[in-house]
Amino acid sequence: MQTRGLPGLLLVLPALLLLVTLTLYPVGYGFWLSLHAKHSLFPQQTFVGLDNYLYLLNDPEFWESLRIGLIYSVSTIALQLVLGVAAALLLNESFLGRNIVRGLVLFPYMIPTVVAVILWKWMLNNQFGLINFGLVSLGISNEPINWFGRSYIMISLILVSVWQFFPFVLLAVLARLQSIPTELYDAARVDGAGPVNRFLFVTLPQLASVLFIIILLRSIWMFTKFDTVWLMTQGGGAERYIRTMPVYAYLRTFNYYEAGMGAAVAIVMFLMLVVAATTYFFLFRQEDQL
Amino acid sequence: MTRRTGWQRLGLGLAVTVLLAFAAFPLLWMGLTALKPSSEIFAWPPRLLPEAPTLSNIGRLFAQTHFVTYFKNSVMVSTAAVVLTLLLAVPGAYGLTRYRFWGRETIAATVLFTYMFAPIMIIIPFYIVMRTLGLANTHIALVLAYCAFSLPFALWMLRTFFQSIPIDLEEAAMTDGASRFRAVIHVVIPMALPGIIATGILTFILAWNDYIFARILISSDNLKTLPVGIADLYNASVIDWGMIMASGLLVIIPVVIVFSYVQKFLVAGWGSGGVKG
Amino acid sequence: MAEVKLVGLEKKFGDVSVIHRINLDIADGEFAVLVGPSGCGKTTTLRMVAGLEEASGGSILFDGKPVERLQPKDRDIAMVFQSYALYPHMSVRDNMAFSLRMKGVSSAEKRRLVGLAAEMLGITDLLDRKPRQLSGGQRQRVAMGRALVREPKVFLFDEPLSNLDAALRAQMRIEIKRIHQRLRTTIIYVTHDQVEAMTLADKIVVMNRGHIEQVGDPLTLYRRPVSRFAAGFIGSPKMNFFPAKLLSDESGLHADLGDGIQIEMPRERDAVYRPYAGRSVEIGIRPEHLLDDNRLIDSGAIAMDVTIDVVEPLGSTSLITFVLGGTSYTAIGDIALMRRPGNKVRLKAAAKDIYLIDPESGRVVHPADNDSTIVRLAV
Repeated sequence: MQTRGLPGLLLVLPALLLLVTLTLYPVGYGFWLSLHAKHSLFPQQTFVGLDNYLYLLNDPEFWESLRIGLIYSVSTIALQLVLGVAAALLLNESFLGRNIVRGLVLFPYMIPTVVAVILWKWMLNNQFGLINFGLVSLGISNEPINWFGRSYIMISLILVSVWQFFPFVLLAVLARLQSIPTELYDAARVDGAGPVNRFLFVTLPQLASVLFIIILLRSIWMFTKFDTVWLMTQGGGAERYIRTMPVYAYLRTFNYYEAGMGAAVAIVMFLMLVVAATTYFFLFRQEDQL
Repeated sequence: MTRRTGWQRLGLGLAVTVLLAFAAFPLLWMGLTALKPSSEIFAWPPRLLPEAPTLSNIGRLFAQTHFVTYFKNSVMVSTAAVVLTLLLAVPGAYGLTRYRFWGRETIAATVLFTYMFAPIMIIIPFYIVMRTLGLANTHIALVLAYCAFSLPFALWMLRTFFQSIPIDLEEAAMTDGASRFRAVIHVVIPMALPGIIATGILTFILAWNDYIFARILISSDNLKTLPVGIADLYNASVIDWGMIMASGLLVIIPVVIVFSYVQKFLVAGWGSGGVKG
Repeated sequence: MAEVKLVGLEKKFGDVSVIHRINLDIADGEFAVLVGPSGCGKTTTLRMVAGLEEASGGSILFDGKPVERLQPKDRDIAMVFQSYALYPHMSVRDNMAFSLRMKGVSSAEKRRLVGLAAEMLGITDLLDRKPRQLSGGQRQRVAMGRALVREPKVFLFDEPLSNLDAALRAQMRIEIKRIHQRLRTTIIYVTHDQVEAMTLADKIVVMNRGHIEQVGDPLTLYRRPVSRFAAGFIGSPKMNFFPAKLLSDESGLHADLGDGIQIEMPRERDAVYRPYAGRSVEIGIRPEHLLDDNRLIDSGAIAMDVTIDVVEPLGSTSLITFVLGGTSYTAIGDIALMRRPGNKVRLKAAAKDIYLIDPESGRVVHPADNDSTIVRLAV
């Protein structure tokens, strides 16, 4: 009974209005801003055309932030996927206390980034941290490692990011796993498929559509992640070496007070994402989708 | 299902333990540290359980910092965000589901498309806009930001829930003499309640946990929310680990409580294209 | 091709026994149908034969060799599932070839076997399609094709026709029977539909609550049911069970059905029935044997005068419902007689079509085997 459409439109209007003014408008404004030189604290700005972008093209800090950003994103996404899928497969089996475990395993995702960061900063502390204690007592390392110094900061950052976000992958994959009819596995067993083959020929194809979305979403979110990176790297002495693009955009706006430049960095990120997402869609789109 | 061999059971148990340890132990460690006196916190080798558990860290947290204020602020802002989001998303999702109008699918797609704009891309212009409106450094700005960020997901999730409620029920109610509006209130909303609650909770968590918007939009100490307040605690000159761990512990308690209720709904919401349990 | 034997087969879930030590012999090439109401254990039994459920006790023998410890893939069986369980992302061809692929069969051999099976089922032009592009009946055939390709020792069917509409079901029944006639592979087939059981089986196994009630060929099950359950389960519409008191007097044994209706029990069975004189019994008569038909006038026919309650015309006959002692019963009527509710009629049944049931034990009391009224069917 989906009749006269007007009431429907009216129902959506308030939500739409809010989204347009608070999301789309700022984005548009961001585009406009990137074409100006503007001090973040003062209302005036000057039109400079594409100067900001040209500056960035020649800015070594910009390229470094891109490089670091890509290393970070790709590593964390890959690990989140592997861990998330493995955990989902594990938690799809039945065992005593399964529901409790399922709940507990989701916690890293539910807590504020701040808490995740300070918790790991404590675990990875070079004097009193549990991790260093373990490594030294097991003989894996001779002395406590400085997890926040230049050599290891990327590893700690990736560790914390994977810890924090793999439950997202876990949730989505587990939900999908539970809707795979068990008869398919029965048929595969009768057909002679062992556990590995059953995973390859029954489970994985069924997961394809979920993984497609997860990879897309996690890529967008890890590439643009600010909180975790910022909080993990501040104060350890290694800030200069781990600037991802979001951090760089932030610094440009709030340290250098160049709002136009900061906006330009953000726009570049956006364009890169659009290109990547479109290519991704064309290459990997599943027919039975969304 | 054939029974597992002893080896398989052992392997399964081991894997589950490792997973659980990885995911949950760090949180446990934080909680234990929060309850230890300084002498035990800095003991080497570290001991697992506190020998003399103490609430002194929590006490210092309340007495020496503005933790309580931050907590209050977080509660206010998060609740307001949930209310506003649901007020907009429930009718919105209903409109998108039950009515056909020009541009409906485009709107639905565009709404999800806004997620391509990650916070960092919006925050800078958003901040400037708020500044111009004179709303910089207010809670209103935060609530609006959180609402804007939860809306796309809320609309999408509620739409899925509404779609799974057969329209026959509303039609039956309307044949029984209810107006469309009352049919929705008395029939559809109760049935969609799990989805509405789940959406509300996810919005709450999003607002409660946010750092970047709170950091950029709020500068006065008495308006700060918890994530920013705690981060600043950490950046103080001398790090009081016990107190910091205590702050972490207290911050996640509402999340834990709220979350244990919503657990089942989360899985249902995600797989609501035919979950078989 | 194999002979299947179940010896003391048992299944427990925790402490709850769902299959209680059943014994069954299925000859090589036989079409055995496990039939019974939901929850009777027929599917569990089938899954144990397949190896998808582990037996709690007893053994399963294929050609004398125990297989209950073997994985499904090592038992040389093939199974057709109720929901077909076709791999959704593979073409029909790949679906059918999957098991061969698992065995490592060469491409040429795969093509040959798939081609043969496809031809037998008439799905050759569907080989490149995906399951979601097929109708229910076509998917069914593909599921059967996937099983055929394996050339197994035993075919297992788990309610394969339940998801099809009536017309398709009738058609597929014939196909399945044809395939059995052609291949002569041992088949174990599970269904809750007794019509399927009767039309397909060489041997019907009636199951109830984890026990086997009766095993026999269709006609034997129809004519000599061993228990009230079997008598009521086989045959549609269901057999009438009239509560009665068995009385003895100078003229012999007769049953008092109440409402003034008395039935004389056939003299030949006097010896078998006499022990029940004076007791409450049940008289079983199938609706198709209770006729409103003046043509049945031989001696030894029983008669009852009843008032018609409902008439359901079927085309060539009609179903007549009448009430006795508060319960409804069914009989078959001649449609030409144009009966109406309220009409009084005389229903007749031949003596050989009456069954005496002992309500305490649930057993049907049968006369000895040399009763001339029982016809032996050559199998």
